[in-house]
Amino acid sequence: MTHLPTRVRPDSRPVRAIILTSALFLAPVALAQEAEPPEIYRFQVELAPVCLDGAFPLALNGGTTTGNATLVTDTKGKLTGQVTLDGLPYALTGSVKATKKGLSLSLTGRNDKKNRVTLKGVLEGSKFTGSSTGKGAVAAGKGTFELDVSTAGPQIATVVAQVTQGRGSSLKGTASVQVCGPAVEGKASGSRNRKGHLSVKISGFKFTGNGSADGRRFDLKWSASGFGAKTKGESLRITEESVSLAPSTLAVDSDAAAHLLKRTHFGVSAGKRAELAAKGLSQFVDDMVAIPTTETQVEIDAFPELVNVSDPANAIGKYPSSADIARWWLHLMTYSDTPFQEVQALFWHDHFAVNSEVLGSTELYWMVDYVNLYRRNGTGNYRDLLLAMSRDPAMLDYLDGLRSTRTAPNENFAREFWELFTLGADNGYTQEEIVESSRAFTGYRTRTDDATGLTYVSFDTGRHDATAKTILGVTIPGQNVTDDYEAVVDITLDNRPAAEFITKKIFETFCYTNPDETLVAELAALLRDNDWDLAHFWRTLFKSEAFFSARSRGAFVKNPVEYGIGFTRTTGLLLRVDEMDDLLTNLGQLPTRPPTVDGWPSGTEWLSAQALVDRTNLAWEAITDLSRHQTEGIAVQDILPPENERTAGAVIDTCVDLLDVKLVEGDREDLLDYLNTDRQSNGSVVESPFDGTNQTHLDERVRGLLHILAQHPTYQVR
Amino acid sequence: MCENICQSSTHLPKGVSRRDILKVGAAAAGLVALGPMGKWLPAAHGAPQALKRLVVVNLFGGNDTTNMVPPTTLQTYFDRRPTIALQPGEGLSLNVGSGSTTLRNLHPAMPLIHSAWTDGQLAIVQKVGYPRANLSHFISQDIWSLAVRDDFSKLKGVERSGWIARYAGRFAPTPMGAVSIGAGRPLDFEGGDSNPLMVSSLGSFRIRTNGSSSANNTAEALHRTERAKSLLARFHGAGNSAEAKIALDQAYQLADQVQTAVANYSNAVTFPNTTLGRRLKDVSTLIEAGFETQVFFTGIGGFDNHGNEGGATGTHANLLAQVDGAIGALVEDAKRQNIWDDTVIVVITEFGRRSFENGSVGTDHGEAFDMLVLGGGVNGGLYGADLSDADLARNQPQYDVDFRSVYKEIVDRHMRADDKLVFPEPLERTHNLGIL
Repeated sequence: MTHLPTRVRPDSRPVRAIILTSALFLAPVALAQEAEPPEIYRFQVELAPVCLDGAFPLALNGGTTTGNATLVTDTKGKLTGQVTLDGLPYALTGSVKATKKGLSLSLTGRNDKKNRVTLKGVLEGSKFTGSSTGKGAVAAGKGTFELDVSTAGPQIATVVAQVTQGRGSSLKGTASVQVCGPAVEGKASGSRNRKGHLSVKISGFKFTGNGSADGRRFDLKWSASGFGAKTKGESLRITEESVSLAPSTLAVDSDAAAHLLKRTHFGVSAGKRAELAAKGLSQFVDDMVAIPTTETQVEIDAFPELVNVSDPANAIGKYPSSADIARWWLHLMTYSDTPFQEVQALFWHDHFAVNSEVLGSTELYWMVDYVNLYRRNGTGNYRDLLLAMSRDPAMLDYLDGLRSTRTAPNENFAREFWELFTLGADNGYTQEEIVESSRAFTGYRTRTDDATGLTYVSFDTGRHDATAKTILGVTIPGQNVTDDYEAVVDITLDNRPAAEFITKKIFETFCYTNPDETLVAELAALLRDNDWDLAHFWRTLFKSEAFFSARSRGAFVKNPVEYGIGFTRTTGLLLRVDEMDDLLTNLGQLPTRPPTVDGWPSGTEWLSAQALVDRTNLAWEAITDLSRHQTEGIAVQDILPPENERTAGAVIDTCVDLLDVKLVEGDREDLLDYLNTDRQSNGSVVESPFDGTNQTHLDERVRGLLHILAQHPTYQVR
Repeated sequence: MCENICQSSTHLPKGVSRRDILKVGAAAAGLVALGPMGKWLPAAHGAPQALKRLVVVNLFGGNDTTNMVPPTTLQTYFDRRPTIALQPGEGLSLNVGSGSTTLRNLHPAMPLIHSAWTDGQLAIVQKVGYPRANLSHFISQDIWSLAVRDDFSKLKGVERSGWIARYAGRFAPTPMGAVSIGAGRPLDFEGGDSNPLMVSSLGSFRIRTNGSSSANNTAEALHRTERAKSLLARFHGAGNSAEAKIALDQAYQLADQVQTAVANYSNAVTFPNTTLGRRLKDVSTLIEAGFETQVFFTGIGGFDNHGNEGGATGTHANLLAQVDGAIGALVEDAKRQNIWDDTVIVVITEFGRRSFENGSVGTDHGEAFDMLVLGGGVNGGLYGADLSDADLARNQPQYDVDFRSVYKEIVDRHMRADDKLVFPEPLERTHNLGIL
């Protein structure tokens, strides 16, 4: 085709805008793609013996007046909190500071202008003790105070520095520091000359270390200040974070627990947090991977989704619609007490993708069997799973196995079996071998069950290509008794990349992307050398250093199912499964309907303006389903602390903890303001302290708070 | 083939996608959020002039174009469709001016589209399809969406993706570069490097915050959104959450802009209050608001008329009347906005229907069909080999013109982009039609 010369050049402004932007950033993009992966250093230093983050008993004048002071420390050592004394709430502000005498505390509690109390003291043993000056209702005049901090743990800063080597030996990157509360982000720098150096700077916090560097190991004399503390030490050995499959030795703290639950349980819940704490990591993971072998209550409860009034008596639940099946599975995901069963099944569904829309009304029950195959066997034996997948009627239909015959072998399944399912594109096989294996994948056909009218699949020796086939250097002898599927599976698994391919895919779904070659080899050996036992693989993975490593934390964008099922499970604000179906369809991820045989998109492909609008609206649908929640006995306070502890601050802390949102300085004040004020239509702001026993406050403000948190960028990530 | 006057993707380095740009944008401290977005938002109210636009109207279900453009002289047509055939006197004549003869009429329910014909701005491409027709709605729709008949693995370096996604990824890589309205998540938009907007309607593309419409409730909703935005503004993370922040920023701004566009729409031309009418009104709204959208994808269903299809009146006629009213309004509106010369509208479906009516007085799935192409710059006329008695003596007419020949011509001559990048698969039959 040629152009008509009279045409003028179209306005290409939108394109130009992008060209400009990309030209600007072209160099860094190219660099970033070629550069080494960042080095990650994770280390802990103790800043002070106590961390003022939590609730601590406060006694004034020898116990005449007592209360529970909740306190939070910021990076600069500023304290904020709340205490109730003699029935009056006091807002606490103050600071904690390292002095020659030790840790000193200064706190002022204000109720109103008349009622206030100021405390000044130092840490002695497990108590801050000192003088109080009161005005008004409580502890008027001079007196004494004791703040019992025996329940407080040491103030430990966990630093994660992520650096890349720049010019010469200089290192530059980002760092996060977490001290008894949410992590704060800042910068890291250093150098690797003979005098090793590493420093981390975050508003209000500074860590500096000097000493020697040996490759990716530092030995540092260090000092740190921030969070009210100032301290130093010698011989801090920092080694690049290990990402092996060895069992993690890190304590399963609140962050680690959230990390595990977000990846394996559709998010955090108080119940699973408690279960993890009680069992310990090892037992918890063992139990999680052990899929129930008998029918569970949730399966019994979900079954009616598949049943229709028109079902023949001998085929109840065998004529579901495509939507019925999606909703049945959404029911299981929403209500299951063993959600890892559904999480891993969703992984296999994404990997061995089938779209139920290709199935006819007498075939749709195959999709239920297909989902159950992965629900029940996804932690079993990989070889068995591959074989069952290959002969699965839904798969046979989706990739044309049912239309692959002796006279007309169909290459569709043969190609995807290697390319997408087991070896990877162009990874050790040829087009000729695809033709050969397509001849092995012949012989299945449909038949009709006269009693029920259902279609079923059976092997027909007459359709099977009975001649010999040679694939991957191995010959399958000609025979006409059984299919050749088992032979192809075994030959494929004997092929070197088979274990690497599937274990890397699992790792890149549950840990982080682009593991190095050593780790990939370790992963492959773990599956291959244990006779393809997936349970052992899953267990090792979820207890490993690699899984809990810094680079694994927040390494993925939540997909829509993780976001939607996760939000409703965590908050308890459940949606009807048909509503969830609509919302997830809108977001592009309805289980049972992946868009292609390659499954769903992943990673940042899930982030778009459109998707974020739809996500936020999904959360809003769950939040505003109030009348149904009332009918079903669902209340937002079910996830909150008991009434007597349900202050605005405690509500925020609980919700932030459950949704695992990372707040930064100033956010909590914003959220407190949201909970403690009313906005009028005329624009005026009315003080209206949050009352945790007021159902209207709970139904409007707490649900509103959850909507705000659901829109936070860190909630989009797992 | 596309020398120096068309949009060339060579400026957008291979392998660098919008996502990479965002990534680097996020990494550069302080350069969050507003990087490339400035250009998705309308610069000023009013349609950007000289921007080339394509509006794809998909009639889901398999439109019976044999009755939409009924033959006037083919006896086989009348013989095989005794009940539903349109008589020569019932259709709108396509003969314009002295000496012009076509053997086909236009359905009487389509007077507005007929006037585009009279103006020489309607091309009817006969017997459009693709090799080895598939009669499943699902699969045939996919083939139209992907615009690849065979296997992607034979097209080195081309990821499985819809053709609009490939176009948008190369030539309109912003969320507003290509927009789907009321078509779900068409496969046409899947894959590729861009994230085109797909909405059920413009009105639904907003962040819902308000449970009831009471004024105090609205104040609370504003307060809540304000807090969410201030948390967002304060957040400075790295990696995925930084990318999420960009997407959230974009979500707030884009949703606001789209709602502003809806609120400020002039309603200068009255669109029929039908499903397709409302969708094409949304198209007009985005154009008027100044969004630089190049490809619009929309449509309606209901064309799978296996029974009681009707002829000059009835089920199918009513559907065609809806198509005519909506498209007629869009044409009028494009002229009002002075962009008609820069606009092309195509009317497609996944397949045509059988040559003969069935026992339920409808038609079953067929293969080739007649595609409509309208636009101020379109050279009106009938294209492709004429429908013949022999075509209709078969179960269904076979394809003559590959639909990608039409698309390629539109991308090349109208959009001024390199069509080979959008349609990488070699065609088994090529036509140089000259529609544009």
